[in-house]
Amino acid sequence: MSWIFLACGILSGLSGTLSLRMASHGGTKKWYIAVCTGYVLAFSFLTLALQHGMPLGAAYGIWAASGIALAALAARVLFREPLTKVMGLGIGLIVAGVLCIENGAVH
Amino acid sequence: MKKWLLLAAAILLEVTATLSLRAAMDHPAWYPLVIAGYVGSFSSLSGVLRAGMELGVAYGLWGACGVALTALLAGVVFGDALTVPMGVGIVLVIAGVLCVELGLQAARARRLRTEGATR
Repeated sequence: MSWIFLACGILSGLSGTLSLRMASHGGTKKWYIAVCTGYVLAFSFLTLALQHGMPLGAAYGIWAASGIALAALAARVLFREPLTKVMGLGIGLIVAGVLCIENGAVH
Repeated sequence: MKKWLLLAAAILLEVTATLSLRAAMDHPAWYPLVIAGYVGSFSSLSGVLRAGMELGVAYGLWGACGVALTALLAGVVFGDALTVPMGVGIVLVIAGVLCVELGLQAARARRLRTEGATR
């Protein structure tokens, strides 16, 4: 169950991030409502995942790392941003690094 | 240059907010700084995107540097243990940030060349 909440948290965080891109690129100010809703939902789902027994380091690490990887992929597809092999490798290293930091921490 | 300054501000504000959140667990007086920090951080990040930095790059650098700096500073400020896996993670994040940045520079140079060729 905690995994479903975490997945919802990742998806709502991603919606917030993509809305931030829309808001700052000439979109209407209404996109900022989507930004706020997305992040508030993301942190609410993260809290639910913690309440259902997921450790903080794992939950936050997976949330942050997936958010970074998915944002790069979504930006490639939706906004035609460059994503080369070297950049893909870099995103992979960042994801691994964030997971190491969060799960190596003594919470 | 402006976008890099804004990105640095966004990262520093995020780290400030996260460390304040840690402090607010014991002393609720820190909560206003938590809120101000996160609001400021997202405003700066929005400015970074407006200044033309790619979302995938900006969000990746912002998220990863925030996590790494928070881990380092939590050790300094709160005396939290900095374990070997965390040290490895910080090195991986730095290597990853460098790869993203180098890959982006190459991609931009290539895009400029192809645009020049079609003109």
